[in-house]
Amino acid sequence: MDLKKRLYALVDKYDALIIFLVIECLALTAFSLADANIIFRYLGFLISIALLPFALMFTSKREWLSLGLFSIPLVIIAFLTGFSTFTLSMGFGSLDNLSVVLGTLAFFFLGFAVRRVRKFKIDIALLAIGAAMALLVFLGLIYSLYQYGPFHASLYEGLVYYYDGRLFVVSEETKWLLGFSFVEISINYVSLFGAMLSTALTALLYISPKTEPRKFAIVAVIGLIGLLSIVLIPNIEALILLIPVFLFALGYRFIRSREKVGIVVQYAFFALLGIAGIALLVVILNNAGVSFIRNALAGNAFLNRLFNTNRIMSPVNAVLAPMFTAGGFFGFPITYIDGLVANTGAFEFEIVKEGGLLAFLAIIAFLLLVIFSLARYSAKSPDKGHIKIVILSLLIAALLNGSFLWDTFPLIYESDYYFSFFRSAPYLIVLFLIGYAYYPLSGKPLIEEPEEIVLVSETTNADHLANSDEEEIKL
Amino acid sequence: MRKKAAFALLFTFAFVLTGCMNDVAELYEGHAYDTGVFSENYYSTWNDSLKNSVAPVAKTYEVTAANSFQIEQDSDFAQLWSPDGFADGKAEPYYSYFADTPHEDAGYGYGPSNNLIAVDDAFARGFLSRLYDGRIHCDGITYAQTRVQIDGSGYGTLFPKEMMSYRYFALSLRGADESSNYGFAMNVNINLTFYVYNYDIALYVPYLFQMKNFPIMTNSGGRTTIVGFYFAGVMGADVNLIRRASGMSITFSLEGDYEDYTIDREDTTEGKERFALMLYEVLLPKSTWN
Repeated sequence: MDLKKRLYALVDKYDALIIFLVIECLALTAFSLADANIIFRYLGFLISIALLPFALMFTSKREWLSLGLFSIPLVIIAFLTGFSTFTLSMGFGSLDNLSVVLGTLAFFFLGFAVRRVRKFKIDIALLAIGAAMALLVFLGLIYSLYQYGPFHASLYEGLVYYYDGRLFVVSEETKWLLGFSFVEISINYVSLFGAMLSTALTALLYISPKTEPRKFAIVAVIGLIGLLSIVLIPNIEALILLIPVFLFALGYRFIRSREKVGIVVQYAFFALLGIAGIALLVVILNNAGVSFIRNALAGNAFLNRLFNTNRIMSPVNAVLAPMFTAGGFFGFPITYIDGLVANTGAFEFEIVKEGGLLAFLAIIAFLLLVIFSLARYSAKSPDKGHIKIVILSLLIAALLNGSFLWDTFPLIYESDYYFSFFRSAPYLIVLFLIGYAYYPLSGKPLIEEPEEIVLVSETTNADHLANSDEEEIKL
Repeated sequence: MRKKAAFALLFTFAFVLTGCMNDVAELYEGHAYDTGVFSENYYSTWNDSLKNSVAPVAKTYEVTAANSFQIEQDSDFAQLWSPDGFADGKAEPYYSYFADTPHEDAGYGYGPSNNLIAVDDAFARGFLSRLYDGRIHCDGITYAQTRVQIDGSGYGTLFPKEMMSYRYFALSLRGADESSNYGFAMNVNINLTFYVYNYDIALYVPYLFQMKNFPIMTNSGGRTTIVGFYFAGVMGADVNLIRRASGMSITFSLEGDYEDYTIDREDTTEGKERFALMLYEVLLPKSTWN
């Protein structure tokens, strides 16, 4: 009991500080200050340790169990993107690799645990993330406009320029603040940030400009900076990927009979999931060298085109095939050069290079779990509408951009510098939001139980709380 | 109200900034000057200022075998004034002529250690950055992207900055024609001109260096000849005259009995073989720019 008392007192005393640290960490990560993601990962880890008491006190046994199962694939991803044949052969360094393991788990846990801090307001965290990322994108946008003018990717499409005696296509690049200097970077890389920011606009469907003019203006500016960073280039592919995000947001906001539509959407979703699952299985078996699948695909012109020879599948196959070799099982060594340079544009396949077969299976499993968790969060969480719509839209935008436009070699002049999605700042932000929106696969989080609300309202009296016979609180 | 005004100002400022557009100032269609067709790849661009705002030649200097150097192998670096030929800048051994890598690896190879982009990265942008990137011969990777092909009328360009101090000039080049003859020398006269802008008369004042009768390796694959001279050795007491030079041009002619050749890209006379210079690198080692 003494320990309980002390923990309650501790929690009550330091919650404001913890919230400040979390928001600070998120803002720094979103701004990618000095491109020092390694520091932010360790910072996130340290703060997540400070959040442990909150998680311990306000999480039921059932939630821990559910969280444990939910986290299994993430743990695999964390370890294999941190330490693998790939990371060792790339020479990232032990501290960096360790930070990936700790940071991946920590940012997810931060989101999960900070929700259990009574004074924490996700609005503020989202605004901090948005403002910091908007500043980063805005600086790059201004410098890009200064150097290229607006709409350069369309106006000068296909035209080249020479730099350092080498030839570059001007419509494929833009400017970006990396560390303390501006660099030329692929437009798809920047569009990931732009797309994430643009989703702030979906919150405007809920925020009234009359009753909350300041919040409306701030959110609008953040969203517009993101949208403009895509439109003023313009990156048509990224714009196309924003369409489903905004359609989702409109549907989420305006479709009243959500339950009826929900059933239709559910069936459609499961149907799509089934088709995608079968297609993925075929792709995997084809690359694993299962002869009857391979022969069946190669023997049919349409299937061969669909699974082998189109511009999307060719790099995917180049990545998946080595995954089944002994050398590529835990990520690719540097000698698997074809697999390493094949740009799939999708983090789901890029993870094969970095972590191998197990990491690939883990990310598929994790994505499925996240989808179910978010569906429950969307339906059951008491969070306000503008919070839910921003979180869901942002995660969809990140998923779409990461699945179609992720560029592993985005630096234009240093085209051999590998950018890992799993070491990027957006990945950490996404993990935080997944952690925050995590919903147990059955039941409700303890903090949302009616008894807990009563309990929380009385937390000013730590003694009283500590002596309460709330069964769910286990230390 | 003040906030609105500040925001409007910021927004306006953002768009005012768009007037610069340096990065789209010099764009080309596809692989410019790199089509694989000899006659299509001549670079003959003269900056308008060097065509229209030029004073008469202020002074002409003769560069001959006596006051110049010509490098085709490692030992030829001994012709450079000490310690310019030494790989570490202090003492022997000399540079390895063929150990030539891009300038990111400065300090290894002559070109990478002395190229203009390494001296000042303002030279990195533009088509002519091919001449400033440290690749002094074909590196077997970028091939034609390394060189600039000129006819007799050459090219003229403004530097991104003014040359404040300088030690020596070097030009890495080879000759080329459309024949299948391999590995021979052609004697070439190169007219190298530096332009110093005179604010009083608002004209560029040329100083001409006539590099006479240099045998240049021709159709030699990736192999090149480096020719050059020391400014102090050629100009003597005049050496400060080209301080603040902000432009340069190169033209050439053939020296000797080359009746079967033409150096005019437009010349379609039957039986005449087109001859071009393939410039790989323009070097002004140890120069400073402002």
